[in-house]
Amino acid sequence: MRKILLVVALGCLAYGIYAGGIDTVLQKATFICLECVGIG
Amino acid sequence: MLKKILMVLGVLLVLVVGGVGYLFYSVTKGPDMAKAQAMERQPAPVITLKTFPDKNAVPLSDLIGKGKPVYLNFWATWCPPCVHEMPFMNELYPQYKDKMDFIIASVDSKPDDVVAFQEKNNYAFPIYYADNKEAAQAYGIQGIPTSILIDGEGNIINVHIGSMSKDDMQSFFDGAFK
Amino acid sequence: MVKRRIAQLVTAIVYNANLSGFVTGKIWQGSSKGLCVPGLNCYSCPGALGACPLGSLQSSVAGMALRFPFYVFGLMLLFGLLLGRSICGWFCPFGFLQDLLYKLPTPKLAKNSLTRKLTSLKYVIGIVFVLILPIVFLELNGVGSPAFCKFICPAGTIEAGWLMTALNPGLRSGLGLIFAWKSFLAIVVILLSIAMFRPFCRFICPLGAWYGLFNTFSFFGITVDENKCTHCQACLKICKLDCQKVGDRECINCGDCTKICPTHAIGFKKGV
Repeated sequence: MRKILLVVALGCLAYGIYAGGIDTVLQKATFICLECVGIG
Repeated sequence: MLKKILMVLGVLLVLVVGGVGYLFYSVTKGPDMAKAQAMERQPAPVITLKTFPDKNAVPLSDLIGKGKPVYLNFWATWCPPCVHEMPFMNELYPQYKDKMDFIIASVDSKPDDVVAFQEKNNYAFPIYYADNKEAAQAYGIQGIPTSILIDGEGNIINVHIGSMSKDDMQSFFDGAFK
Repeated sequence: MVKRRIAQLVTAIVYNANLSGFVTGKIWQGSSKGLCVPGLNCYSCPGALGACPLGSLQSSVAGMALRFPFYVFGLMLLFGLLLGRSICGWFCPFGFLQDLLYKLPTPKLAKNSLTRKLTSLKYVIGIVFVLILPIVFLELNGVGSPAFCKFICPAGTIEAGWLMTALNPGLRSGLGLIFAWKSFLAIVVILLSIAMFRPFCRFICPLGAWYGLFNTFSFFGITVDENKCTHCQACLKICKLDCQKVGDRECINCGDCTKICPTHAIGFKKGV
């Protein structure tokens, strides 16, 4: 079970990186949406 | 004895990280949010935008300083307050478009998101693409939406960080004509 | 455990090593922000070098369109599998803050059957605020909102809301009801943390709720040698959390029970 989940995790991670997941996280972490952090 | 050693190590670690942090800061100065406000009365920094949807490069200098004031807004499709104030912008656009130019610059990293957004909403005001790092450095943008009012000579009149109500937006626009 | 305190201190520093940000109010905009840290650490903290996994998950699920967040999900699954709630006990700055607050010498509220029941609340909060509400906002407004960040997260309030507005006067005109509500919540959590052990981790944190699901089979964490265990329950008596069994979903792997076990039946897994 643990090993299967590990394969799933690594697979999701690999695909996510390929699909631009890092860019998605990066743009939202470096350009603050003010309301999103409670400033509003 | 071990605890004391570990505490000293902890303090040293803080000092080392602080020193490295300072080096980082001095080598790579980031944008300053206060810079945006301090830029009032300064010439608007020129950045390179891209037209929507064709993505043709156009320097901001081609769009400002032509005798008409300019409303420059940095936004993103994933930013709820940015999206929230757009209907107000769209309602005011017909009233102001003849006396003021609009540059509604998306900092989305995925241009297709902007295409999908505009297909869904069909806003009348002109949209551009901006590079988020260039905008951040030049204008001190760290939070969005950020609205910048530029006079006919290309100088910044006013800066507002955060979304605006329709009334606030109208007052903001009217500041160009005082 | 001294090792755990060092790990917590180092974690807090490493996650927030953009130290100049605390002086200038500038957030770090480098590429390291594309990596989620395992613990709860707001990416809008001026010191933050990485992204918060919970904030990233909400933003990735429902930004402008509904998308499965493979990258963030993969990372969170990996963190959970490797470490379970050891992340909570060893590698989370907000957990560390609560630990420090609990050290203040005041009367303490002990765990009981009610607190045990309340531990389920964090799962409800996770499902509603992290998954459902961002999608609801997407359907209603055309863009998703990270509802847990926006309405609840005290880590974001303290690290980003309070710090950023203190360091950046230009942000203050934007403060309103949401900020007031979140500040109230943050103050409640801080005060409760003095009288009660880790109330946020036990009852509210969706990230802890997620990692707890992996606790019994993560590669690293607390384990019990059933051959040595005499079921005296000394471990559960000393445990400040609402564990019903060592290493269950509530266990943050702090290791307090390892010292009290009379037969030395409790230890840390070797990762195999």
